[in-house]
Amino acid sequence: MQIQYSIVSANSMLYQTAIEQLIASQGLRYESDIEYFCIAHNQQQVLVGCVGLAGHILKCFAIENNYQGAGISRAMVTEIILCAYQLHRKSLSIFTAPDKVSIFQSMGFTALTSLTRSSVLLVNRPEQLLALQHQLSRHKIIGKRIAAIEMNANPFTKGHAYLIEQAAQACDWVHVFVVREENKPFSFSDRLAMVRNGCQHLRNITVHEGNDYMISKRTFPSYFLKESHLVNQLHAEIDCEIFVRYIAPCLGITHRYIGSEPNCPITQNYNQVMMAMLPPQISVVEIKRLALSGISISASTVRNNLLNATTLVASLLPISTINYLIEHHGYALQI
Amino acid sequence: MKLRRSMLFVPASNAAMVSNSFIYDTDSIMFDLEDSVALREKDSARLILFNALQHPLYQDKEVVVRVNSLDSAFGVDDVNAVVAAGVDVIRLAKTDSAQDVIDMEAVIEHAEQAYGRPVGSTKLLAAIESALGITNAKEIAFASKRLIGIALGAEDYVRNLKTNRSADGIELLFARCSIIQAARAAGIQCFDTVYSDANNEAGFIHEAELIKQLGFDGKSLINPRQIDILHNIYAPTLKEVDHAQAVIAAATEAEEKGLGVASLNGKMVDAPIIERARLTLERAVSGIREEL
Amino acid sequence: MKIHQSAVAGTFESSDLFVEVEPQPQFSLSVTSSATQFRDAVETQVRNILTKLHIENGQWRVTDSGALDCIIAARVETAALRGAELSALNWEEM
Repeated sequence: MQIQYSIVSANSMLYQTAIEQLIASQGLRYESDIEYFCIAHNQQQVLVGCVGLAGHILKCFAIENNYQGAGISRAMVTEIILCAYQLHRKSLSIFTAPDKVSIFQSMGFTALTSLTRSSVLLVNRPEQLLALQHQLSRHKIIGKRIAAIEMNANPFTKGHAYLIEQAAQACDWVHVFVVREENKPFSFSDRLAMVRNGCQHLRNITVHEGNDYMISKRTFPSYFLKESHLVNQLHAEIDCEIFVRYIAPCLGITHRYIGSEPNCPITQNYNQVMMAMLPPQISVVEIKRLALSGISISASTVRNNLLNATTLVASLLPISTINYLIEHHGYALQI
Repeated sequence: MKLRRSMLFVPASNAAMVSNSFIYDTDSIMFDLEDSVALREKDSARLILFNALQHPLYQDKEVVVRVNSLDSAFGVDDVNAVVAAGVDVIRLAKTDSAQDVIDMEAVIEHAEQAYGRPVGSTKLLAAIESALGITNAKEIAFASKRLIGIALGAEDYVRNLKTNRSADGIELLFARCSIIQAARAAGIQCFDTVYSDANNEAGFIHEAELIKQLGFDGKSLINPRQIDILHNIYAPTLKEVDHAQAVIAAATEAEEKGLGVASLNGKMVDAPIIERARLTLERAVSGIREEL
Repeated sequence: MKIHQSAVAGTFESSDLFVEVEPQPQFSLSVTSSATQFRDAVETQVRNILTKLHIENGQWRVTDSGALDCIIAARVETAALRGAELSALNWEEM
């Protein structure tokens, strides 16, 4: 049984239909963020296997039923990993079913999350997580109530400031993490600077740069893709499990502060998952979102109105953010 | 002359195949560094052979290596590595002229001297894969003392002829006959091309019977399943074996009694007949064919 | 031999070895094997090969899928040559 392997662009017209059919036949969904596929053809030139690469994640791993067996998967994974390496992506992840975990373990991957869930996260550079843990533990503060907050801060609003202040008042120390993935319109460095500027008056907080293991494309890809509910639920659970198992212990986190979410269903769901999964080790404190004149403040409202209703926008932002936007982005915001 | 009915093609870049191919009962194994190895794997495949050839698993097996062309960036390194590792035979691909054989011989000799191998110990097999090569078959067959044989490489040859391979192989008839003629004139062996449709057993049998009848010593194979089939086609019948044993017995007896000439049942037994009988007995080792 | 660029060799296919190396001043080696009982033997062999090649740096990562010793040697040597940007070994010394 001679099988030919090749790497193709995901939007190649030559293979797309066959790839989509193969993926569907294995009960998976074609994911639109895939950039490359390794595909396997049999001697009759029929597509019998594929695995995709999206950023640093291998996904849509499918093999035709008659060809299941270690041979094809090992060859395909080798090819797609070499492809990723050529793109200088050395640190790779895969989400896979528990029964496929052992095959990926034998190809140098380490499972980070529980095998009881229908999807398991594996990575090929587990030492990066160790290094992160080591680096975080240097910021550990001993206290009875140590809080963690994760935020996008795109941009940093009065709502974010309020959430942090509430936590800072109630806790011995607050660790704020700014989501690292690049976002529009404000880059990671912009967002980090806005959070830092907005927290200068608080003495008991540390603002951390986000990382690959907290609300990142690696642990929570559907957060960035707006995927269907099921995937979102799984990824949210995986993200929470990593937080509880690997992140929180390094900093001695006892509480997680979250803002209530009136609009975005993905964030709503994420909040619910946190409330279900973080206790008993970590208590979840949901702070009702700050409202101004009856409208709750949200970064998306700010984003949508940045160019027109500048007075409205300015009213939602702390002065530190307004100054930052004027200075760095030339917005003519009127206070 | 060594029995070489079957030469199993094994891509040298495939770790599993290189690790397992010694288990097959083939007369020679032919590891390929040339067309079956991707460009990015040329260096790794060469190192696999350098190590595998020195492995005890391959000490008792005749190993042929098809190296890359000397014109390529890989050819000289390929020869150096496999000669240093003690290869038995180097297969020269795409031989167009006697000069190609002479050039290869020079590189081999240089490597033998550099890596402490007896000069002349590395044998050569020239594969002819073009109309020019077939036209020069006789000169190629006489080009080097190292040559154990010449072989036909049909895939490139039929492309060169502007045709393709057919079931009865009419397009290869001239090339096959040219190669047999040249090889026999030079007193070396000759080998037929691969049968590339690994799943068509009937087609393979048809082709193997044809080339055996034409006079070929053997054939290159790409599928281990073809080994037994080919050996069976080359196997003598019981009657042939009995006759061969009688010939050898008559020759031995004559020699022991100091007789100049042996005879069997009133027929003279001379050197070519003895040689033929030995080949029959060698071919019988893997089995005897049932008479139809 | 000094490793000054990242390199890979081999595959995850059965009977093969996957070798990765990243340049770094120090030497480190991690070995995993699908046949755990052979992991230590694989590590010993990899170390011996690297010693023979006079390699004293690089972050080495080896994933074994049941490779024979000749395959282990070949894949490690390939990664070393690629990482050192050399085209061939000194066949005599090996």
